[in-house]
Amino acid sequence: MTTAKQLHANRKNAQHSSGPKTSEGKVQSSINARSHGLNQAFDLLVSPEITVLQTLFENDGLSEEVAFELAQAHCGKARVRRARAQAWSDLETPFEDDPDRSGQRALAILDRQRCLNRYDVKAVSTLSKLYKQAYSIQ
Amino acid sequence: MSTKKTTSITKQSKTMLALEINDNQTKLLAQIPWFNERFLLPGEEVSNYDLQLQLLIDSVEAKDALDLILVKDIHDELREVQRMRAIRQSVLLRGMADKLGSLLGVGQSYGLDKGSRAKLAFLAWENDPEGDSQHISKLLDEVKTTMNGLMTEAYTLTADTLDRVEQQLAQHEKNVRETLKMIDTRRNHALVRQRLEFDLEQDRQQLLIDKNDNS
Repeated sequence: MTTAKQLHANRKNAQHSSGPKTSEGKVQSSINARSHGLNQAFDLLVSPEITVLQTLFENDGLSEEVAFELAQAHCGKARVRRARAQAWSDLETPFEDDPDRSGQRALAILDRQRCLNRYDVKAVSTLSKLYKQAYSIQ
Repeated sequence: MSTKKTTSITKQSKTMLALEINDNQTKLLAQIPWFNERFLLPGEEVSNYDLQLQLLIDSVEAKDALDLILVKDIHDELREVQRMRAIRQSVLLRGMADKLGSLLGVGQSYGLDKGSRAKLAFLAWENDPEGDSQHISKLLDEVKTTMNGLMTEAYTLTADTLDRVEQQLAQHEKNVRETLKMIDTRRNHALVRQRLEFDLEQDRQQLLIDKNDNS
């Protein structure tokens, strides 16, 4: 059982390690959990193509709201595609001539690609659902 | 702090898409960065990418910018399928070479001793599948096994990796089917809309004729 003295000491000591102090440390800490950004919400300033796509869908007879959702979903899919391409290119030479290393390389590629599958499934199913809703025949 | 590697994906603007869409749509498409990127690996050619995309556009009969975006998606998925198939073939051939090497008594803990006959024979065959495979046949005779037997052994050896490749292939093939459905959904909707507009116009004209007759 923790005594009152120990509890006090724990609380006091915890103050010595209460997160980053410098501005650099704070910036680093803010992106600690971010590995690929595939779950991040879209920012219209960073992704102006959403507005362009929205215009294309609106010109196709869809409402502003539905067009915006579809535009976002397309950009989400494109983001996964880019992450997949990045995963391939990080391995520099995917098809190596050296058989001693090609097996390990193949496994590395597959692991990286498999990590992205759930984002891919989510992006495609969202798009599919939105297309069905937007272009439903009533 | 982790540093990101510089990507070696080839990113160039699209130059040769022959599609009859209006200027406004062309301008809008030009403003979508990911639509104008080709995701290529070292060794993959821009001209081949464009040619395959153009063939797909023709076969799907893409009619507007939104069709084109979906066709590009399909194209990129199909390229992933091609890459996965290349990995599958490579894994299987390495597995066969590995097994043959171990049967010949020169196998190492992983892969084959550099310069081994099995490795060289399979590398030559992989580089030229249509070419002469008599070196492999000779080695197979030496260890008294057949190509089918060797392939079965290789499947067993590489089952785990091949299973992962199959899963990836299934994922990309499913994406292709889903995207094709999206194109169909849009087209069916457009057809029904046209049909409804046509019916409404006919009704309106009939109404006008009836009105004139009555008066």
